[in-house]
Amino acid sequence: MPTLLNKEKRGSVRPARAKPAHPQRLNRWNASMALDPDAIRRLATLSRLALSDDEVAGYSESLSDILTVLDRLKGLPVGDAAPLASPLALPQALRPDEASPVTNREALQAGAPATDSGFFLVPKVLS
Amino acid sequence: MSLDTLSAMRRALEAGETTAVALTEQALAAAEANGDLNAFLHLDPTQARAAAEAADARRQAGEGTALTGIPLAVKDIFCSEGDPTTAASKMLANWRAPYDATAVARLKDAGAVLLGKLNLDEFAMGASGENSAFGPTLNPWDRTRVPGGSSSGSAAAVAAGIVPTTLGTDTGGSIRQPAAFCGLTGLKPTYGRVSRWGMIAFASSLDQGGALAWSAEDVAEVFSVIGGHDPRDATSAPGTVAPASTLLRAPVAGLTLGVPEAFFEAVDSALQGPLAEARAQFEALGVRLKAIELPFAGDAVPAYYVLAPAEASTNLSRYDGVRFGHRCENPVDLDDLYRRSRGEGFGPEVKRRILTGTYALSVGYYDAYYRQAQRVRRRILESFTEAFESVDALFLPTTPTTAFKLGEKRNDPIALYEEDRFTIPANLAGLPALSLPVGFSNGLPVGGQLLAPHFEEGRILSLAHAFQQVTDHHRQRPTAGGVA
Repeated sequence: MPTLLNKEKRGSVRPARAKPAHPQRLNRWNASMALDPDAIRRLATLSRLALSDDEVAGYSESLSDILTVLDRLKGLPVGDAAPLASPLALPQALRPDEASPVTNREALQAGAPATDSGFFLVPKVLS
Repeated sequence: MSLDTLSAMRRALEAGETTAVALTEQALAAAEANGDLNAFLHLDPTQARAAAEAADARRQAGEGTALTGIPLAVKDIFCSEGDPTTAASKMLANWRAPYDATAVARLKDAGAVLLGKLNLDEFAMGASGENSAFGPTLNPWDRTRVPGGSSSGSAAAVAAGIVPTTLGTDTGGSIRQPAAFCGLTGLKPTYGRVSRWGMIAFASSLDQGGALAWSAEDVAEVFSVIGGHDPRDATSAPGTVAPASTLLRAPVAGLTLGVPEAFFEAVDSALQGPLAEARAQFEALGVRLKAIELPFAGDAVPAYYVLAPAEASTNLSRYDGVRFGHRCENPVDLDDLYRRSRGEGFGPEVKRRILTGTYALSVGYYDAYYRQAQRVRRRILESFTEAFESVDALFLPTTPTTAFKLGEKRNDPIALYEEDRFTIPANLAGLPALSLPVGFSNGLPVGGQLLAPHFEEGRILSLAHAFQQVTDHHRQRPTAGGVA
């Protein structure tokens, strides 16, 4: 199976918190190529998903299979069909710009993992 | 025989032969007796009893509607205020919705008695009900088989006789396929007909809420309540939905029903007989059948499995361990918080779809997959538009097979994706589509599907209703081993 990246393949697992890959890197992937574990790790980084090595191996296999289905799209004679994003050609419904009762902050934040004084708490961002 | 359809319950309530409290107790007892089905993720007897008492008072005051006092339940992807709302995901295992979805609010306003929340494939991603973080749901017709998905609990709860109707959602067939597997009638309305407000998003250009019940008559009753414009959903279609009685009375004789033969040729041989009989039955009702072709509809599966995961990967980015849902222990920094919260909170199929969607949206692949899928989607819509120039509605199979065994396709995502191949085209084109029982094969229900042009739900509800006046497939009930 060909490798995905235009560089030497690393034998070791990527560090747990690799810097997000620059999306431009994806250009170097060769279309129609199966998704090897490194490619899955890169997608996982872009998707902000921590995956175990077992998961990476499993997704490498199943996403490669899925790609063979998705590749059926290529070569379909769609001609000059304009891309369709939504099935109904309706103008977006706008409502009057009026104040109306909404769920209050306390109720919305009740389901948050960590809050304080109306703020959502996250790990320290600046050192 | 106990009352198990919405219309029978309604008649009994109106005649004073039963009460909402009695129907609610019957439903709670049936839920208890069928606990092994794992149809409910959350059952709230206290809330249900209070709603039932209020419904009885309302009827006594002469202010009842068709749904007042009817016990029902909703797929746990609809927000209901104060209740656990999990989308069958560990990610939302401890989350309670702070408000009602519009569809839920409209049911409550009508006086319906909400019994609880129903199991599903996690975030509605699946066709078997097995992708729930809280265990699979069983099919009441054969407890070794799947009820279909993703509205698995919604179908099982009706088929088991617990409640007469439920809400489900349908992104690629998730109302119609479980309805077919469980011998029910299920309607996916036109895209935008039922508000998506408070419905946890999977793929926003495809998601549509709707009802499952035994008959078209009962489905119409629920649809007429939950449907219609909602200013809180920017993609909500304008206009209201007609009353059920109007929806059901469109003339059927003289209509032309398009039958795409390629779809019939692609089903398992066990389904051929019931589907052929259904076609003959429609002809006997004065409906003309016309063989048609639907170019590109056969390419719906790869288009859907690009578009739906792409939209899902975007929608599910909101689960970041910050605003709601699961958060990992001791995150070292923000990136670690995102990655581990999401890695721990999402189940295997959800992660697979996020990865697939991220891939399809990546620079360098966007045109080849995402854009191309959108172009195919356009061609599919055009195929239907063209077909509807010469036919009034379409009839096709709902599923390629009857309900399959639990575990049979669990490790084969592609086999499960192919399950949706007859249902996905209607989602891509935003068309109303209804599955109705057309017979049985080896004791398992077989479903047929009716599709109509945008906003013509009444036409397919009327066709199904007329069909159900002269057939009794929708009156069959599961027993321990097969057809009653």
